[in-house]
Amino acid sequence: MPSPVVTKKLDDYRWIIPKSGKMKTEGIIYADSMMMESLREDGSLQQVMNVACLPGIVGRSMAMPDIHWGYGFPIGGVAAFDGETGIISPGGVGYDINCGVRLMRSELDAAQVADSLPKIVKALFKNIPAGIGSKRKDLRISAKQMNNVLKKGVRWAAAEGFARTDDTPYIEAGGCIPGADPNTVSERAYNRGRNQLGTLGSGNHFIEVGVVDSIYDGPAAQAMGLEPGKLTVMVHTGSRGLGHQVCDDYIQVLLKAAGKHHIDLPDKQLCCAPIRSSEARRYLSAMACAANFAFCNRQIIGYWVEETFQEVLQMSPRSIGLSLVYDICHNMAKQETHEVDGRSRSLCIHRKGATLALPPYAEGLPERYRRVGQPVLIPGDMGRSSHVLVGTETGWKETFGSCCHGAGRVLSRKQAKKSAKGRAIIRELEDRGIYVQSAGKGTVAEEMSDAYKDVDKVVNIVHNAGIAKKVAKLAPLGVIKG
Amino acid sequence: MLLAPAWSKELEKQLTYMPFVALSIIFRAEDPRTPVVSTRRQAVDLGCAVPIDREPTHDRLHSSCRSVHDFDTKGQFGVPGMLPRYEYLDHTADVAFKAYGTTVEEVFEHAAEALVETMTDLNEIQPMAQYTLTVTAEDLEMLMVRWLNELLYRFETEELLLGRFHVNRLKDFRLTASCRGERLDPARHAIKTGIKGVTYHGLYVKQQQNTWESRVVLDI
Repeated sequence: MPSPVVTKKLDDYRWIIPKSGKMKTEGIIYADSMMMESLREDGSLQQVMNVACLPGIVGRSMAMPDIHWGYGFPIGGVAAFDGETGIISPGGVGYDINCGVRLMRSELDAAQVADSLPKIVKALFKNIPAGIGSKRKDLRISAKQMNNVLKKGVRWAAAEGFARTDDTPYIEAGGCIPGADPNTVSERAYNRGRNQLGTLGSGNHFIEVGVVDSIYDGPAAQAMGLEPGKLTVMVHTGSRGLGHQVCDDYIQVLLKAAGKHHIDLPDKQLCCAPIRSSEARRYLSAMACAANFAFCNRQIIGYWVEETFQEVLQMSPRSIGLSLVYDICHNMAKQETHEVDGRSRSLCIHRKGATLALPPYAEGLPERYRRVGQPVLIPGDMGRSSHVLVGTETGWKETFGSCCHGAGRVLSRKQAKKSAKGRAIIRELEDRGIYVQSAGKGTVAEEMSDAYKDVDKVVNIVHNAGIAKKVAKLAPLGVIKG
Repeated sequence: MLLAPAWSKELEKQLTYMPFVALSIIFRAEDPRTPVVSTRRQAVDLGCAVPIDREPTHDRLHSSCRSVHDFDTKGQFGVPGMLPRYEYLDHTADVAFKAYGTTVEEVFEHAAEALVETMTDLNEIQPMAQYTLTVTAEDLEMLMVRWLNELLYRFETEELLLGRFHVNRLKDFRLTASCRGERLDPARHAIKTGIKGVTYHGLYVKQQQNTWESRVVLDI
């Protein structure tokens, strides 16, 4: 039985794990006392400590309030490494490279289209491939096109007609991570991805039709076009089989590299290589390819969402007014410049189940968001609200501009199914006015609300800790799941 | 090839549940590729037409308590105290299972079944065609990951659902298996969930006394 992790309370929302053993830095958990109690049991605190042992770590090994146990790095973990002397680790990004969220707002009043909602959900389910083995017959990608998807990201999708307007200012990194060389992606990964562009996937991926329920920050909400009562659509998906294969391929490469470079790993799944090594460079390139695939994926699905609304409501795009609020990643390693101890440093920031949160006036923000900061999108689970926040200066300084990504699971899928036995989850949700269509027969029970932490609590913690600021709350009306 | 008379299908259904060691001929008229076999063991080894009875429950671990090899040697199903072929474990975010076998080959076969059962109902996969898969690795754990990932890869790229596994040879971390299955048919194959990848977490393949055991966590 591992010994309990020692923590020190810094304030109501910050807990420190002091340096001990081979840790090169402290750990910090953003949580309240109740959440800390449950965290002590799932092994994620130990993982925060393990990450703190890796070479070249800058700042603390961080954990967001939705933290839970993951492979090597905890999910909800953030760690920065020196751009010259640090490491890169696929475990710090995750299997689903650039799993992320896209939020669209509309001019539609949820009350006015309420009667059409079941039809909209059914049509979305029909038009957007969800679940295993599903794909649209009208999207076939040649090998040459795949190369461009991987190199150009959203720019390829836009050139192919999957964009009504130029969305790139409202997508993290402009929808394309530079340095993506398709030759670093294995044939296996390529083959897995070719049939899966424009598919939602399964598990916790979804499309959610919602309504703006509450506004906490008027000017920020106005900048984003979020008004109470208006319909929104959120898409949550990632790089599908291509990203997963890239992760698996490079875990094997970096396992060997860690040995070759004599890196002492407290956990094999923290396999890594020095950033300057050839192995690390190849992984970064392949990771960028997978990230660009995911950006394209969400762009295409977003376009099909717009088409579906037009088809069901028989209204023009202008009257529907669906437009992109923002598209963010929550599994990524990015090369960024930050001020550390008064000097500018190039860092490689690993955010696994955590998002970038640029503060007001940060470089890279589109003009519309310059004064308010970058939208941070926190999807809730199937039955609970989603949240929109913005980055803050405090977050930029403390967490290198990072925030949580969602709620985090508390029940295993088996426990969830057991707990759901005898309950008609879909009926329960429908009774609350939430329509669910799911491709997977077990998924609905596995993904029920009770299986997740309360996202409201998670969001309140980051807000009260000052690392992000609440802007709006969205209530779910319809969900399609893989 | 003789065509199966109508009465033989009823007999096949009844014989499935009877503790015989050897059966007479089993036919499947609609699949001319299925060879004529003279014993149940042969039929099982070829993975054809003999469903392995499995009754998943919600109240206990989802598992099968029958081994075809034990059936043949002991001549009955469900021997008390027998290990299951596999069992699913509690895991917060993903799916974890343990696979068991009397030989190392068996544990790889049963792990494959556990993987496929996560995606869809194993019993619904018809053994329409046979495929030979070969994987190599540096050690047994890596071999397990590569083996299971190969099955995932075949599913994702060819929509191939493999449901019957027979490891022909496993030596020097090189595995060759005969697998039987069919293309995904959404009308018949109930979809459960997709698998993102086979992880290395808590992974082991080891022998304890007379049993081989493997623990695998799947990222879903």
